[in-house]
Amino acid sequence: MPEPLVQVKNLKKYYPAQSGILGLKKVAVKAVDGISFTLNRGETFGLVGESGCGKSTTGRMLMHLTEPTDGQIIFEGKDLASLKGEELRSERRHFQMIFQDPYASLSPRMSVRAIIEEPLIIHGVKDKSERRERVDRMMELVGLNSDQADRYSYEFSGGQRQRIGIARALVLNPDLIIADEPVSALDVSIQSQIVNLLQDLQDQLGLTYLFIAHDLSVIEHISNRIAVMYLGRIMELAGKKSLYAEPLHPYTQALISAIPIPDPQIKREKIVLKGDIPSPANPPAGCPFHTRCPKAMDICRTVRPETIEKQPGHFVACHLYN
Amino acid sequence: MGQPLLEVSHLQTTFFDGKQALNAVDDVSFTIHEGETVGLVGESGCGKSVTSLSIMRLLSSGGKIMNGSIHFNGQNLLALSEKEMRNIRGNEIAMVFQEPMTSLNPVYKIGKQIDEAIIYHNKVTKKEARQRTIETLKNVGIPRAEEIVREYPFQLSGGMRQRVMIAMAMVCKPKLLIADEPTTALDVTIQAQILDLMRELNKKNGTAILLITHDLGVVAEMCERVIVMYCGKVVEETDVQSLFAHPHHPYTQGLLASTPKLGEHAERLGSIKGNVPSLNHLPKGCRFAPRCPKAMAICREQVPALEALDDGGLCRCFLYQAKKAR
Amino acid sequence: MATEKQIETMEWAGTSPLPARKSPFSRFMKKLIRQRLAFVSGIGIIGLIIIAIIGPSIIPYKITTVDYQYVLQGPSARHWLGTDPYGRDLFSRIIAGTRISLSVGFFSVLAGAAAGTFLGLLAGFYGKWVDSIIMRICDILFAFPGMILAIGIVAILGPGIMNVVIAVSIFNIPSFARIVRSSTLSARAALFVEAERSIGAKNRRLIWRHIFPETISTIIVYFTMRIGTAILAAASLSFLGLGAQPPSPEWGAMLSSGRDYLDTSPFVTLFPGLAIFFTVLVFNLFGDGLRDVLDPKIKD
Repeated sequence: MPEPLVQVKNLKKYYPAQSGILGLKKVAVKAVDGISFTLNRGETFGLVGESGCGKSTTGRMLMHLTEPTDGQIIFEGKDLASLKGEELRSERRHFQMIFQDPYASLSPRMSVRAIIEEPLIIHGVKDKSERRERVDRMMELVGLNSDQADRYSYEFSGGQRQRIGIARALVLNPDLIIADEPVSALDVSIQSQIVNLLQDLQDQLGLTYLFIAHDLSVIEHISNRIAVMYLGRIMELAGKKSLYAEPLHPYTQALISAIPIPDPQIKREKIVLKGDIPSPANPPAGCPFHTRCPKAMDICRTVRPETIEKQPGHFVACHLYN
Repeated sequence: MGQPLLEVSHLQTTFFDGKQALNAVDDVSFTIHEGETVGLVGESGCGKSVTSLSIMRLLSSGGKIMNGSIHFNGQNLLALSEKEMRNIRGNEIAMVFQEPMTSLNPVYKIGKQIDEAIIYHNKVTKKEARQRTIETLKNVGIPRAEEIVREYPFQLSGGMRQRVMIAMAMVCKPKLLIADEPTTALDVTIQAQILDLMRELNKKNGTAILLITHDLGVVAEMCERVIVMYCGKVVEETDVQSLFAHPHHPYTQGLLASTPKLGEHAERLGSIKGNVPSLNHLPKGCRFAPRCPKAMAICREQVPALEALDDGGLCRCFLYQAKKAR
Repeated sequence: MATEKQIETMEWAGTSPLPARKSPFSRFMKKLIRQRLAFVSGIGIIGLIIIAIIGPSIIPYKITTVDYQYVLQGPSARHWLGTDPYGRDLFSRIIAGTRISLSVGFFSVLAGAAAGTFLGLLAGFYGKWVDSIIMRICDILFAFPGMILAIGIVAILGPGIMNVVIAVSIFNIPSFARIVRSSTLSARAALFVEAERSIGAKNRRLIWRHIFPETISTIIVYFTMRIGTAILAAASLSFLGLGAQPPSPEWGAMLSSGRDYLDTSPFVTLFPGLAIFFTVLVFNLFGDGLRDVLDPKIKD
């Protein structure tokens, strides 16, 4: 029986924006528009979608880097979305983040030791030798040589820097790791090293991952369950096998068929979607995907589809199944 | 297979950084035939982009072609004057880059930029040029082409801009299109559109394509032949079917194993240990030896040659040369 | 099983050795030497500082020694740069004045930079109303021409070298606040600062440990360039009689005392003027070079 670690309920993020002549008309950019999901302890939950779908904003809201407009993030009986100040700061240690850009996310002025030690200092580990030992242990764990702890981060390659970022995220023994496109800035041969490392660490430390990516092949490889987002909403949420074997939502179907497969033997019928992703400042009414959907019906243009559980654990928001 | 269109032989491009000379491209040879789609694959710093810039003779200052020849349609591009080269660029060889925003001039309207490319290479009036611009934009699948010509680049989405770039590249019906990571900055569904478009142009106009990419999936879908580069050298060249069915070079094998495949539920990905060495710290002998799981003593001492294999492919690896010698 | 995996991951990352390490200081010096003019100016500044420290103890005459037999004498072997209307040795006085000008320049900019940096960090980091209040006050200060502002302040506080330092430092505050604010804004948006925030760092730690270091190079460059301006401003105030009072060997005051003899004895104003010119020049050239050296876009 999966044990829920974090429950996200009806999470929203609206940004104020101006439009119209002279910017008089006030509109809201709905970056994330009411999404709900549960992260089970020890699983990898994949959040996938194209640019502007709100996947990164969701991760940032969980980390409190962006304040949610509405909704709840329930962890150990507390709603993190409503926490503030010192209480929030001490809860923060349970969630940690790995960033996409391994160059910009590490301070160029700090040694590797200082970077990994930082969370320990912030969260009150006063004993210097204990900190030292924990940093060394963490570096070895992520595959770095702890003899190099006094080097500066800019002396390392992209893959090694991402390992430093992972060490920093793990040093406080968090429950949840939010990995926002952690491999997309890396070379192919380095990507697989980092993916493997993340899986090994999960096995050893019992971590839960929220893995955010645009690459469906990587998401498929690493995730247990996957949510597909489009324009701030979850279109489909299912276990990996059932999502890829029988995608229900036309968007998921198109997305999966668009991935180039590294095998020239496999020839598939592709669903090439027409048109561009609409701007989240001006999303279509009804189902946000109807402008590009090959199966759109009249109702899709006006009524927002409810999310239904088509099969056990397989959720979809589409009028085709109502 | 058609006539050889582009023949690059023993190309060596060097970048000078103070006292250091770094060979970004080192003794690279390959041929592209008319109407063919060839993939050039490799990771960052392998020299794939420098190769394409060398062909176009668009190297930034500090980069210099030190050796080799580049024949296009029998003409040595390296012997041409800058003026003659300008006539070839955009007209017979066109290029599409990864980030379309940097290659479009932000202060000119889309139509004007394409018109100019036409007028530069052809004796046509402005009106005729505009007509051809609109026609080309329609050919690359741009809706409301008549309106788009009066818009600025920033008014278009990334996918649209890339279409405009391709329209601009195709407007003079070039014989060769060099596409440098044309879809890397785009979303998957938009990438599918652009790849579709390139395939169609290749079929309809017979334009040969040199597709530079790090994405093996894109290669498998688009290319007939593949050249794999590592640290400035070609390590393997073969047709696309045998590359994916029987990769020979341990680097190619490692790359394929590292790439997650849809529908294949492997517990772990294969991987290549270590990091890509930087050009100023290249290892002695085979450049892949320090990361190679099959490295032998000789690999750390000598540089293997690019030699033909039994199945017609080329591979730069002692594993196969030793077998043959026996 | 777990240990086996660990060993494997270690091998992955360990195969490529890191390039030899160079200390940040040696890289800085290497780049600085390449900036010829700045390097020479730097030596000039060091020379000025040495003069300021040991000058008063090596000068041939006491600065207050009045010798009415040698009034307004031209340069000679006895008085290298001549004498002033009271027969005091100009060379000795200029050397002795170095300490005054340098310390007035240095301390007034230091005080202005400290206050300006603090305000700039607050404005840039907290934004919103904090930013609005601080920047509007700066705008008001900016609306006055710097010299007029300084004259006004000295007029309120009364003449004297200490008040000149206060006046010059106050007119330095808004410019430092403004440049520090803009570097704070870009540093605050940097991903590594965001990463730090995600760990749970407090604002104070973010500001002083992560954002402030990002602004230091801008501050140092601007600091150096402002010293020249501050020396000039202090000399101007003294020239107007608002700063150092006679018989202090302040360069501006010396200019002022030679002003009546400009047609007959131009050297009385020429040499202090040259001293001011040279000092301001070396600080500005050094600041320019420093900016190029510290610019992260220029690599070695």
